[in-house]
Amino acid sequence: MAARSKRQNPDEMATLEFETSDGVEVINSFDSMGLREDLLRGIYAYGFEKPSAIQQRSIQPIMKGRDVIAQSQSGTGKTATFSIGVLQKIETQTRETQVLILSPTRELALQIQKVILALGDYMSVQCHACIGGTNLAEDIRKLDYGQHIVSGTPGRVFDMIKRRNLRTRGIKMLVLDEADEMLNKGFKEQIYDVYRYLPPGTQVVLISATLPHEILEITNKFMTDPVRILVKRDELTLEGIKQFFVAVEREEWKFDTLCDLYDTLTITQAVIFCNTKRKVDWLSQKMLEANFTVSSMHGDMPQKERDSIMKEFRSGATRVLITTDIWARGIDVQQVSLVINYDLPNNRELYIHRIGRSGRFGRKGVAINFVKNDDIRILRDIEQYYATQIDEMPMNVADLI
Amino acid sequence: MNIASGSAAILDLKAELLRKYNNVKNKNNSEKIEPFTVRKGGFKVELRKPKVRESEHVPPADDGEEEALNESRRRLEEKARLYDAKKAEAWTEETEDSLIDFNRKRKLEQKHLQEANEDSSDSDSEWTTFEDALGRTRKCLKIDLPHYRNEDMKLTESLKSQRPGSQTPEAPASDPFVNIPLPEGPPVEATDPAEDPGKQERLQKWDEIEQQNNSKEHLHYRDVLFDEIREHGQAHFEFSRDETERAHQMKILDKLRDDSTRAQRMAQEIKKSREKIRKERMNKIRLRRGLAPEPDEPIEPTPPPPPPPPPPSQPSLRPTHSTSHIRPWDEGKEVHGVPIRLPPKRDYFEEKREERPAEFAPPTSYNDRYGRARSDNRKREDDVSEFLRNIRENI
Repeated sequence: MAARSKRQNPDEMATLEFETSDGVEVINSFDSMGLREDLLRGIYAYGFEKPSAIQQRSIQPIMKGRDVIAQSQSGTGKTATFSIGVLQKIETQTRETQVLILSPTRELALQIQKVILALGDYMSVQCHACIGGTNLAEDIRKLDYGQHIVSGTPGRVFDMIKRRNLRTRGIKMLVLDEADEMLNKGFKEQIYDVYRYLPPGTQVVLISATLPHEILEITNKFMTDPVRILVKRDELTLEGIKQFFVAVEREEWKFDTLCDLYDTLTITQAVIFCNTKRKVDWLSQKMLEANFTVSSMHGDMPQKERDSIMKEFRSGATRVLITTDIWARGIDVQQVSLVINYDLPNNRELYIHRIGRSGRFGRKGVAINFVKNDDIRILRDIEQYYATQIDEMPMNVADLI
Repeated sequence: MNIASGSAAILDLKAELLRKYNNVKNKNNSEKIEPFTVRKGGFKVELRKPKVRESEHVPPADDGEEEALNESRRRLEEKARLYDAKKAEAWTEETEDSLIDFNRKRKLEQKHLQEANEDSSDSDSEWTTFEDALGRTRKCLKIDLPHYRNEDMKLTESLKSQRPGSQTPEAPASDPFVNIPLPEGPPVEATDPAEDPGKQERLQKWDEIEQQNNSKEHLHYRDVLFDEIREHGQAHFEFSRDETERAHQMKILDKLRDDSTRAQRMAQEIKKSREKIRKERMNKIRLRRGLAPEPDEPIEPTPPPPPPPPPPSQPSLRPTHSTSHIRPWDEGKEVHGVPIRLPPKRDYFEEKREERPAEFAPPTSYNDRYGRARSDNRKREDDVSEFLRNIRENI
């Protein structure tokens, strides 16, 4: 009977456990991974010295052409993991598009392009960011020129494929960054549409800090015998990110609390999350009226404005950013050391992603949750689910940043 | 008298005690105020050499300097007297031809006095803050704001016309704020603090880079970095955004790299040859003494040679996993003109029949009509009978 229960019938999938694959090789130096020399130079120049846990395990199977499902905590070098794998597999002699990387937001697609160009600085690699909100003709021109790697968002990429400006014949790898988001209801159809244009059996790599069970269940539809590197949920929060809450009786008091915290926010850089675009607008307006310098960003802004806000924040010209969940996943700004959940996120996964905007690659971080009376239960649920600790905010919170 | 003498003795004793007390007290005090004594850990006393101040080493100013100092002091005093006189004059005559507004301070003082006399229970809302031309945040009553703004404008004007470095009563040259860009146009009260003057400049710069990128054939890391603050590795090199310049830099870097690897190799070879010479010499000595030559293996085990560099060609593109699995999402895609078909799903009923335990099967009389099922059941019956036979034999 035991043998029978392992069969993948839909009803029985719920009982199926996904675990890290057996026999995943651990390689603890970039030198011994057998990477091309010009790539190695780029890796060290970018600032990596020793591979992180996920890099030690995942780069090799990606290089070998295996389908890979890789999960690891926020800010532990996932983007670099697949980027290194991708760059190792690129043939720079041909101009065909060989790798397609899809991500949920335009900012993330741009960031991935940047990482690939950084790691491939000593290789002559062409990487194009194919995202919405940009000039279509420009996009077409760049693609027609020939790009080894395309990092984009599903909508524009699919558009380019349909127009045959992005030729898929030479594509040998598809990477879904923030895979759980990409395979969620909103995106899954679009991913399917793109996948249908790829050569059959294309190598697929899924990467995310959170990979819920229901996502793992559908991976067999487009992956073959994948290597899984997974993290148990009680190991998903980072020691380096201290989590706190401030209890407020009324919604209005959140604003006063935020004003009181302003000096702490500007010690380095901070991101404040609200649940709606309207609230982002409202809060940033209110902060500006109270003479606090803040910037804000959400998906209803024109792409050009989004771009300049990102650049301002990345260059340190602005220090406090009020935003929506558009910023929750993947965005890497090293100096961000404080995240404030002005509103609690709508699901447990988003909590992990939001607080993960701080504490990048071994740095310290602090997350502060504003909770109204009835919210505290949600926070306790998150605390229990990830087996983590969320204490009341201490007076000396600035010392922790 | 006994008592009297006794009391005198007590007095004596008391006096003696007091003296001792004072002695001790003085001793303690003197110890405390000893200039170069340091108490450590509450019990250890240590003498430190007094640090000689540099100023004490400075020789006294010679007579000429002394004279100059006196002269300047005299001049300053004279100037102060003149200013006082002018101030008094200005107050009475209201002359406007002077470059210096001697009246200003007095007016301000008067205003403050008035304010103080007014009801001090003014609510906070009557107060407002503004930033003056020197970049200071100033607080004033809302009704006074136009006046202060006006003053501020005057100051702005005067600052503009001043030569840098010249002194004004409002803005001494040493004031660090003098050099900050002055606000242009009439100051607005509720200025957006996010609008810093450098912003437009930055955005314009990035815009230009963006434009250049569009016309570039090859994009590199530096083209998309846009002043981002990021820690890079030790070996990070800021390549030029200009393609030819970049190629040149790359060439230099490659050359340096080649040089260092060559130097490394050379050093290793030298080390090896030295070792060889040493060994030969050693062997000669050993031979002379009638000993066997040194064994061949080196005393220090050399590290294993680094793994051969990966071939420049790409690793095999063929996935290591079996390709027999057909992905549902691949169904219908064409390979060499042949569409991919998923293997037909096994019949549900057949599958379930196979899972069914034998005792729940239909009676054997039905089997005639279901050939496959019959043979299956026969097999099961055979199994059972063999099992029973085995048991019997064991008994």
